[in-house]
Formats: sequence, structure tokens, C-alpha cells
Amino acid sequence: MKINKKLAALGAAIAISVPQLALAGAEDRRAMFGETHLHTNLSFDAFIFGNRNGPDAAYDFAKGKAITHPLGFEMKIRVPLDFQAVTDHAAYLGMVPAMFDPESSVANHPIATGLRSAKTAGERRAAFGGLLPYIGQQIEDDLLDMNIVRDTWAEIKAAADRNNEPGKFTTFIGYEYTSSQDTFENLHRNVIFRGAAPKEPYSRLISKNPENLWRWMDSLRDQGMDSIAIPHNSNGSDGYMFSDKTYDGAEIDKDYAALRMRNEPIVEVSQVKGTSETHPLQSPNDEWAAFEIMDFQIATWKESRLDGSYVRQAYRRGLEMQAQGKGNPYKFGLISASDTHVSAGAFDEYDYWSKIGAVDGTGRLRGAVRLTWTQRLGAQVFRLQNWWQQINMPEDRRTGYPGKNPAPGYLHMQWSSWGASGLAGVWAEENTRGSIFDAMRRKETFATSGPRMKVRLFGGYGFNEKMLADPQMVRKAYARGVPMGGDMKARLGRAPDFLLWATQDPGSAPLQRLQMVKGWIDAKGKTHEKVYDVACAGGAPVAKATHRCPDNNAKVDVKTCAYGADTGDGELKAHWQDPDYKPGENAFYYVRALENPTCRWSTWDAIRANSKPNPALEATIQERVWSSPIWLEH
Amino acid sequence: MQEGLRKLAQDRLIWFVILGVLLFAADRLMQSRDNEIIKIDLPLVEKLVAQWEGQTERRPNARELDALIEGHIREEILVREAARLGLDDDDIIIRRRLAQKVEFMMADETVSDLPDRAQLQRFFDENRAQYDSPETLSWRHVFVESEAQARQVQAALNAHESDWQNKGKPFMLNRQYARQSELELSRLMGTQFARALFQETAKDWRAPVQSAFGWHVVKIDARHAAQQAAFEPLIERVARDYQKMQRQQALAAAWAELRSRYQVELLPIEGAAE
Repeated sequence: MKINKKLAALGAAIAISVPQLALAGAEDRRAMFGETHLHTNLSFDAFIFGNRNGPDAAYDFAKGKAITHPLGFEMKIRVPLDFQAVTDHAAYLGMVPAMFDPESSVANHPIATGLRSAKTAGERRAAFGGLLPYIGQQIEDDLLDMNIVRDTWAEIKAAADRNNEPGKFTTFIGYEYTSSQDTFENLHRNVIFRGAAPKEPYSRLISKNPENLWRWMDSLRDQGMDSIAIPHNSNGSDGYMFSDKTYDGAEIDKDYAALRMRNEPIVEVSQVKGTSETHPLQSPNDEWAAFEIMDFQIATWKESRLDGSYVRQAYRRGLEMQAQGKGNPYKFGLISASDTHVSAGAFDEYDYWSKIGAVDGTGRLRGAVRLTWTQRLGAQVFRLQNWWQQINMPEDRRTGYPGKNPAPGYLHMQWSSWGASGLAGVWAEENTRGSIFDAMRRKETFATSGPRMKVRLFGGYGFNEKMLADPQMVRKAYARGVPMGGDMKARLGRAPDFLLWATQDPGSAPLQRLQMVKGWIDAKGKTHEKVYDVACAGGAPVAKATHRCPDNNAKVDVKTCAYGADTGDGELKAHWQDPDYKPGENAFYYVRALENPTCRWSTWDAIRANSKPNPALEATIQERVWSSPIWLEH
Repeated sequence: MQEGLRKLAQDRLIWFVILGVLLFAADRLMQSRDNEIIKIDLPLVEKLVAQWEGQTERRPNARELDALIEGHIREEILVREAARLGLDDDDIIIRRRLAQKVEFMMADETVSDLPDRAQLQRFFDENRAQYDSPETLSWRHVFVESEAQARQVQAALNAHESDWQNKGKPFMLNRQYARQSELELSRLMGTQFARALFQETAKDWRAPVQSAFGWHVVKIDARHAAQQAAFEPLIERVARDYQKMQRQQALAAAWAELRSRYQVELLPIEGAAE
């Protein structure tokens, strides 16, 4: 017994020393960029969209090789990626033939009959659109041909292992768990494995309740297979992604919060189908909140409720829940990804191919290029054929144009409000599965809207202005504080210190401003948010009263997309102390850095086609990077 | 009025026209009946099965085969309906697909089978540059505040290099890199910086060098000459490239021939452009 006790003590000592060992290498962490959300031809919908590129082609693309778009042109990434996961829809593997089989017991499912009886292109498209949320809902398990699912999954795993080059290029085995509430409320997440993966993916056919997915992941972890789930498109979740209730509508408690945080440490805040940081109606005092907004439920024209659909509000809700003793289920870090369905993410505004292949592969199909007269006629016919689908179409809250009445001369489709986003950034010691996965688990991650901006954030006490110029800044910051994704304990009622740092993408526009976004909960249990500019281009001072940089007069010529090089910085850096800190108030802080404005993809499309840009679409964009937050706790 | 109608009824031309319309309608009816027959034969079924096998790597069972055939029938009917409605006329995807098919045909027609070794060796010799690995640099740098500071730090470093990692400002990227090509370097630091480094010949600390991020003091530790590739280890890649080149050449030739058969007329533009 004595020996056992000694061993236990030794074990504890080792356990304690491990974080310090890890810390020794922390300063050597470097920023790496990757893709964690990608569909190949193995996803049923991607196949329908014309994608014929399998996982090998997807990895070729990430490593810098050109691959072919369904419309025949070449897609080539500007700078190769450091890591990538292929995440095909698990639930669809092998299910399509069953839907088409008139003998099967799913034959009478409204979607299946719709698929078989569709006579026009419009009906067919509508039937396929409807398939996404419905599939699996009423299908008996004995109909599922698990042989096809297993074979396809085995191929996905083999392709990941085949293309993994530790130290150079990392692949992850993964898939998409494409769940929802009753109909279209998007609850999709990507499951990424640290190393080995099980024989079958857990899909919505087994359960649509994400809590069951997490329990499955817990059980795998007990068997030595670690994984995380990364939710995406909360913007299209109709408020369910970051709800104050569980999937079944029960109150959230500490067990739920712990289960969720154990399995979902990070969230995909931005991707081709819009950005979910916040909505202008939720953050009226944030002048940059109206960014790549897509506030419809996925694959529909139904409005998605704002409450519960955006990341910043989720952080606030998490503070509230914690104050109510329910734990905080929304203490997640941030990444972006593309969600491409053509095996290749479109990250650059000037080289954009959207995501669903033959359906949105040209500027005209995306609504960026004026239609010819015959095309306008065709579009009218299409609209008339689909009147039933469009009759309840609400006004697009961003463009002001409802789909049933678009800007004259342009198509207005769901993909008209999509964009060239984004990339996952991680701070990791080395380019390996273990190192990158662990960075995601500790939330030392950041998200960009496409360009390769890099960002660092440290919170602590005892930081000062001088550290910004200290060559040992990073080592000291790790030693005295916590990096992005971490928790810091408030000390003696003192306002916390932060070091914020962002650099531009050398292949894109320079930076305009560096910002801190803060949310906090007051003594009455009410939450607030505020955006502070903390460093401005050209060293201009931040106005004390408004916390805003002066306008740096960055301009972009929307006729040529040229922008001046005379304003904007290669890097912005600041030491910042919270001027509104009140002792006892828990808070979260994250960095946002904005580029100077550049042309949006829709403007590039119009210029190339020699067309007038669609007035309903934004002509320019301020690309940005978001850090994961640091949480201040008392 | 009635007089007029009677007169019209007596007009043979009118009867001729009415008869013509009836004949035309009857013909259309017959045609459309023809058009309503879908033939399923063995070669077609074999093709469907082969497609299925290509996607699933197993043979379909009886039920799946039924579904495949039913799916084909459905597709055929929808395609005919689409053609009847003229939906294929101005469909950009169909046009592209048709054009692409012809391109594939043109490219495939003239590509020979496996090239022989001598051909490959010749191709490799002619295209050696694309197989060689480019020149690379191993370098380190100190990131500083200004052009003036760059010169100061340069002088200090050339006198005492030992503590170089504690000079200058913190830098978001690494302070030291090994074996980077000009392309890799430009992606990391911007093209201006990459060009400057690759043109630098001195071996001591140099300044000022400007990047997308600011000013640097730079030292090139080693310059690794471009590596000439050897034929043998690359033979498979060379074969792939050779065939790709053949296809492209065939396509270009076929295209030139095709293009020469057509004349393009530019019509005058009426009115002002929008």
C-alpha cells in the first residue's frame, strides 16, 4: 500500500510538471493555416453538383497542385496549406440509391417521391434541397447499407493517412455530422480525429441530438481515440446552435456544459455561407458588424432567428449561464474554414468559385454579373415555376432585396450572399496531427476571412508597453500570462493587461486597425459588449472618448480593384488595459484586426465579365482576423 | 358577311391550308408517340452496371438494378422533356459540357499509347528545368523599428553576433529559416523582400531590407544551389507529363483545324453601350 501511495504521489508530480514542460516550448509555437471543412465527390450533394474530385485530389489542391472545377476550369490555391481535413457528409454515404429505389420503404417519404416524380429542373432542385434536412429522419436502420458506408469511410481514412506528411503537411481524418432540429435549423458540426478513427462515423441517422454525438465521442476517447466536433453555420441555425436550452428543450446544466466543452472546444465562425461573429441588429454599436451576413436557414429562404445564432451573443449567454450556476457551455475558441463542395476552398476574392460546383460556378449564376436578355427571360420562367417556394420569401436583411424581387437584371440566389472565406489558424509547435490537434483543444486558434493574417493575444498582469519592443516578448508573455483561448483569474480587483498583435498577409492589403472586442456581465446579471480600437494604421492615436481610430482614408478603386500602398500597416501591436474594468465582473476579450478595404469577389466577377456590378451586393470588403477569446474570471 | 364566309369556304386555297394543318398535326402526333418509346437493351444495362461498379466497387443486387434502370428511364424522360421545352438551348452548363466533350474527343484521338524510354528521355532533357529543384537560402534576421535602426543594429551585429536573438523587436514569424525557395520566401515575407535576399551576395549582416511587415537586418547563412534532377527516379512523373503534353498538343492541332473551318463575322454595334 505504501508503495502504491508513493507511486501515486510520483504520478501527481509528473502530472503537475507536464504543463510546465509544454510551456517551455510554447514560445516556439508558430502560426499555421489549414482547412477543416471540405467535401469531395463522396458527399452525395457534392456529387450532384458535379464534383468528381476525390480526397486525393483535395489533398493535392491543399499542397499546391491545380485541380479541375466541375465547369472545367482549373482551381489552384495561392499559397499551399499546412494542414487539411476532408469532411464528407456521413449520413449520405450510400443513401442515395435507396431514395431512388421505388421498392424501398423510404419510397413513400415525401422527399423520395418528390425526387422520383420531379419533372422540371426547378422541382428537381427543390427536391434535392429538401433532401438535406430530411434524409434519415424516417429511415429504418435496416435500410441503411452499412457496407457502402464502411467502404467509403475506409477510403476516406486511407486517403488521409496516405497524404499525411508529418512536419510538412498534416491531414486529419474527419467527417460532417449533418444534424438539425425538426426541419432546416442547421446544427451541423465536423468531427475531427486526433489520430485513429473508428470503423463507422456517428451520423444523424443514429441520432440527430448532438449530445448523443458527444457521448459517443466520450466513449471513443475512453478507447484512446480522441476527437473534437466543430459546429458551423450557427447563422443558419434559427437560434438553436447557441440556445439557452438543450436539444430536447430542457434547461442547460453543469453536466451539459462540461459535456459540450469537452467535445466542442472550437467553433467555425466564418465560411463560404457567411460569417457568424455577430449581426448588425445584435451589435448596433459595432460599425463593422455587417460583415458577410447570411441570415437564412441553410438551403432555404426561411429567416434564421438571430437570438442564439451568433458567436458573440453565445459568449455573453455563456457568462449569464455561469452566473446562474449552470456552467458555461459556450467557452469556445474560433477558426474559419471553407465548406467547399468542389474539393477545393476558394479563399481569395479575386479568384473565387464559391462552393457548389455547376450550380454557382460562374459570376452570372452567383448574381454578380448582369444577365443577358434571354437569360433574364429564363430566370423569370424559373421564378414562376418556383412561385410556391418563393411566395413567403422574406426580404434579405442585408441587401434589402427579397429573392422574389431581385435587383433588376441579376440572379438573386442563396449563394449570392456567400463569400470567399475562410481559413483556420493554429499556434502549434510543429506541423503534426498531435501538435495541431492539441492547439485546437486548448483553443490557441484564430479565424480569418480568407487572407493569411496572423494574430496573437496574451492576457495577464504585469505586462507593459516596453514588452512590445522586447525581442523576448513572446516568451515573457507566456510566462506571465495566458494566450488566446485561455482563462485568467482576476487579481486583487486590478484591471487585466493585454498584449495584442496582428500582421498582414504579405499577398493582400495592409492592416487598418487592431481592435479588442469585450463582453462582460454586471452585478445585476446583465451582459454588455463593446468594441475598442487599440492601434491604428500609421501610428495614429485612438480617440479617448470614442475608442476609435481616425479614418485612414484607405481607398479602393472599384473599377480596377487597385488600392493605394500609402496607408495601412504591415503589423499592428498594442499593450492595452481595460479602461472599463469593474472588480467582480467576469468578461471575455477577443482581438479583431481589419485590413484596408479591397474588392469583394462580386466586384471582381463583374469586372472580368465587363458587367456593371450588382448594386445589391457589397462592392468592397474589409477582410479580417479574429482571435479566440481570453476569459477573465473572479 | 355570310356571303364572305361562303366565298371563303369555296376557296380551294383555304381547304389546302386546313388540310395542311391537319396533316402537320397528325405527323406531330405520330412523332410524339415515337418519342414516347424508351428502349432498354443489354448494352445499356451493362453500361449502367459498369457506372454503378465504378462508384461502389461492387455489383448491384436485383433491387438496385431495377432502381438503376428506373433511374435511367426517369432521366431519359426528363431529358426529352427538357429538349422539347428547349431548355437545353441556352443552358450554359450544357453548352460547356458539350464543348468539353468535343475537346476530350479531340485530345484523345491522337494520343499514342505508352511512350518508349527514348522518347521520355528526350522529353526529360528538353524540360529539365521543371524537374530541377530551385535555388534555396538559409537565412536569419532581426526585425527593427526603422531604416535608421536597421543600420545601427547591422553595425552592432557585424561586430558581435553572439546575442543576435535578443536584438530588435519581436517578430510574428520565425527568426531563422532553412532552405527556402524564392517563391516560398515571397509568400512568407512579400515579393520585395524575397527578391532582395536572392540578389544579396554578401555573407555578413545586411541592412536595411524591407518586407511587408517593416524593416529587417538580414544574414544569409547558406546558399544552396539549384539541384539538377536525375531521369531514373522520376520516370513515372515524366511519363505522366509527356502524355499530358501530347494531349495538349493534339488538342491545339485539332482546334486549329476546326477553327479554320469557321468564319467569324463581327456585326456593327447599334446604339450606345449601356
